Amino acid sequence: MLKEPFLQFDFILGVKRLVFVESMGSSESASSSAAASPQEGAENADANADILVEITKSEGSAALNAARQEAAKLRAAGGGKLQDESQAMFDKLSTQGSGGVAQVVDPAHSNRHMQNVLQNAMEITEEMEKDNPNLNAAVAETAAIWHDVGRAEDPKEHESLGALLAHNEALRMGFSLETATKMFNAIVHHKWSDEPKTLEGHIVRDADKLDFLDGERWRKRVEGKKYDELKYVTGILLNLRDRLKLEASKKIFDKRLPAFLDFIETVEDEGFEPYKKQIMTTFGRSPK
Amino acid sequence: MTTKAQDPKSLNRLYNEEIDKFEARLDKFEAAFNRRCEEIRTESHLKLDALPKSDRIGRGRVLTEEKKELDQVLRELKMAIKNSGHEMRKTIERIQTQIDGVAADVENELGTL
Repeated sequence: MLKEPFLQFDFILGVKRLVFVESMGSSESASSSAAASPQEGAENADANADILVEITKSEGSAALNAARQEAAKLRAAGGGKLQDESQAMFDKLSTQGSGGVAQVVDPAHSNRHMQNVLQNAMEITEEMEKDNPNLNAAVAETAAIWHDVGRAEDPKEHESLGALLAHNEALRMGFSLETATKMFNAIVHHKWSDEPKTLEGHIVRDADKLDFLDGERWRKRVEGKKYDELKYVTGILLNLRDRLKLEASKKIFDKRLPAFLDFIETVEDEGFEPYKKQIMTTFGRSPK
Repeated sequence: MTTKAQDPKSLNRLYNEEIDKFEARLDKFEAAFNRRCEEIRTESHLKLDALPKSDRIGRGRVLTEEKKELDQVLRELKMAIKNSGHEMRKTIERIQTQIDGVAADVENELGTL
């Protein structure tokens, strides 16, 4: 949106420059010029004195505008993560949310998973904030911490249960209904087969699924000989990139995949071999 | 979880205040710059008025001097913006480091739970 006025500004400045350069030339070589009368030459000089000032003021104004735009960008970057009650909610819920998840016995959804999802959500929001001024980073990040809290009660329905718990907890702490609703929407649809209705919801869902690239979680499954689970997560991993909704998430996937494959290559377990082979082949690596 | 000095809202306020200060300085630079440009314009017109209309070489020289002065004023403005911007960035980078520290503390605390 800013481009057009700036182009127009450059154009006007360019035309003014041309007018000035041409008339300066005629003034300085005026003694040999028969084209302009003394009267015309005097008027040109008066006009050029004004044009010079206007050009300089325009250039000064452009420099000031550039500095102001930089300030506005910095303000937006700084305000995105630390503003209004959403940030306060992040501070309050972050410890309590982890307390809830800590009760969960399922090792695949431990504190480590919660921290990974938070880290993923932070990376995605950082990538997306500049182009999405309405994105509420604090809600996305708080929801990332709370997204599995419902597992403590009911793993099968944990998405809606967790969303409700987070919603009610936010209200209980005195946050507005609007903020509590945003939290609810960011958590309720994070199931793989579901479709979030908000940007924060998509961030939480993608951040959650990106944790399939955490080698440590795979190692635990292999050590626990959980081959059915390994079969299931391998199936998800093979199509993971295509099913991530956000481009920022796909970028993170691409960045992390090589290290993940390096890790998988090091895993030696007979029962895991078929899945290892499948993963390596799908992502273009020859199994060693 | 965080000390008062590290309170995210206080850091956020400091961050924004630094940008406010920078913008206020830009306003001052702009006012001074425009005032100086107008003074140069007035000086040039006075010089031109003092010359006979037929003295084209003299008039050309007035414009050349005016251009030199305006270029100097513009250079000074750009230098002032650059220095002031540098000062602001340095300060807000320091604040940002503190903000990142608070975020890291939150993560560490979560890790110990």
